[in-house]
Amino acid sequence: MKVLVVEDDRALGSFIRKGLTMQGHDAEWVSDGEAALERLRLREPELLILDLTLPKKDGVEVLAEIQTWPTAMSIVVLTGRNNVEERIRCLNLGADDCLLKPFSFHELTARCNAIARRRGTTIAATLSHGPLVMDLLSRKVWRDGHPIELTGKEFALLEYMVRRQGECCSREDLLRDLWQVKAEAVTNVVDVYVNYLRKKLIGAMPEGGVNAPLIQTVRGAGYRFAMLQQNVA
Amino acid sequence: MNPIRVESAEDRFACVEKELHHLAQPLSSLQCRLEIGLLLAVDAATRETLQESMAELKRVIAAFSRVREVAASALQSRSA
Repeated sequence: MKVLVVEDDRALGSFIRKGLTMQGHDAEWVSDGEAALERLRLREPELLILDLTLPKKDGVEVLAEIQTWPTAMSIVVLTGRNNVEERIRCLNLGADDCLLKPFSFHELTARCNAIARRRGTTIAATLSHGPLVMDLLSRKVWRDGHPIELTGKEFALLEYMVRRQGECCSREDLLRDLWQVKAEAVTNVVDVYVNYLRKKLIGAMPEGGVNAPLIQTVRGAGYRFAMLQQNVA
Repeated sequence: MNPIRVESAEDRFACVEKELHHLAQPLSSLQCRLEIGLLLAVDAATRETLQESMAELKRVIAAFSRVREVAASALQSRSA
């Protein structure tokens, strides 16, 4: 889901954007009301997360202006003031939900998911491929119901490959996107982590299970995530 | 001659509410950091530290919420 976060507090705004991106959303962040309106005119997101106290144009002014546009965007308002009248005003101006600060990031995402369900858009909290299931919120993985303990980096690598199942992921792309290292860097960290991941994915299989490789090597190019053969009972 | 500033109780409660509003920002930011940190934590020691920090933060937020309620109801009863 495309999300625009409008929050003047740099730490909070960047963490909300980071957390939403981790969950697979296409999230952007701006820090004032005018920048928000400019961004919205260029690219309408499916969800707007809008702080009320903003420089240049406050959140209520932004809401009032959006109300005059034809838009299908959902809006969650963030406020630090425990003021019922203000929340009522925001809801009447078109906000779908209000969240009082300080809030839990998990509550914010649960409310965003609730809004997405009402829109008819599902936000995947899990990724599954064949017998592999990945819970993107708790960062847990199961293969045929057997849990697999992965480190943060191993999980990120697996998620990256599952989202591109069937496609070859080059070492350069993996280095750039997961390690933020330039492709020219001399390092075998990708191969090392792919090996760690392969061992853990195979290790999760019970005895007698078919250990067909989930991660295939594409010679001279990189790696590809493939479908597992069914287990033989 | 400088005018004498008499701060009414209403002014003081409004000032408290304003400061609480400012405090809500870093508390939100800290809560988000710890929750996202827990999602990414690799080793058990880090997870334990983050969980303990989260538990302490929840106590701070609970106290913050109580102070906010008191300030809000004091302001309301003053303006009633």
